[in-house]
Amino acid sequence: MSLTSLQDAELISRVADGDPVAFQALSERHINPLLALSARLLGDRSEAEDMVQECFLRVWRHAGRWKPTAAVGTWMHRITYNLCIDRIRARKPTVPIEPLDPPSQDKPADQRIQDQDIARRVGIALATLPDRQRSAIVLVHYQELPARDAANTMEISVEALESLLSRGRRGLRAALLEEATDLIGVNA
Amino acid sequence: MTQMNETRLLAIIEAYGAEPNRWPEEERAAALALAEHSPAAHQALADAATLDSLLGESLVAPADLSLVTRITNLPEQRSSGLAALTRLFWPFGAIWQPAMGLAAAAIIGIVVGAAAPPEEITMSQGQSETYAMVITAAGGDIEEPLQ
Repeated sequence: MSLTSLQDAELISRVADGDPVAFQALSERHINPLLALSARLLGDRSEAEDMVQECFLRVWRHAGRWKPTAAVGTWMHRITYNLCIDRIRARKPTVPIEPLDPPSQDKPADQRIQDQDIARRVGIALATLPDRQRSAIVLVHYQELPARDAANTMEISVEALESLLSRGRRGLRAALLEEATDLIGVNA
Repeated sequence: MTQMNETRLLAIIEAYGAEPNRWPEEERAAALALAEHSPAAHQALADAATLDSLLGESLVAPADLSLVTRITNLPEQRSSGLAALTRLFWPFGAIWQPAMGLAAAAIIGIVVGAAAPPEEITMSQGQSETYAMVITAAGGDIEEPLQ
């Protein structure tokens, strides 16, 4: 049986027993969501990669600590989130000056430039939000965690999460929609 | 669970955006039903969808091969790191053989020590006489216990 067909809970159980093949299957399944989480929280690709690597190192060492009260993916989100928050607290604030992801080369040049500009402005708007508002937006909007899981990850109530989300979206709207006509031609 | 009404519906849209999949699962059906008949919700959904669309423009490239390799090789690196540390202190090949020998010797020593009867401390006639002479020469009293 291929390990890729196994559920996360079975994989993490094997990882706890020291199975490197199960670890590989688990890491390949979760690396991109965790990288996206780190990159959006930190606004820095290189730091984000370091955090993801550290997360997987902790998973390898401490897989036995996982409890089935949370999904494995949610547990790994929480590890990565805590690593990123510690990193943010330890550094001076930074604002990304480049988009997190270069635009697709399939599009015409002028469209690529516009996409890059939008992505850059969104990245800046996200980076300039207060940390907790940005975390809430990233966990719910981008990572698509259920509200309860996002709240647990941030160790807050669902009501507090919704308050952060509302304030975060208002901040993003103020930063982005005033320029929406310039950006994508929408009638904001 | 909060009862669904227009105020709660607008709060959900403001917090979670226009995509119902992001709304709290236990309130989703009631919120969608109410949204169909609420002009205020229609406007809020349209505004939220515009912001959602802009946020969707920010993508993160997937992990490159270098990062994937670094992570999938972590167990191997951990093992080889431990092996390197072991070689630093024991450069004579496999460490399990001397370790097992040492452990076996320790176990035998403990078993033999526990099984043997305690040894009585006695003096031979010659040893007693020598002891008495030494004590007497030192000015001591052979009857007094040594301090």
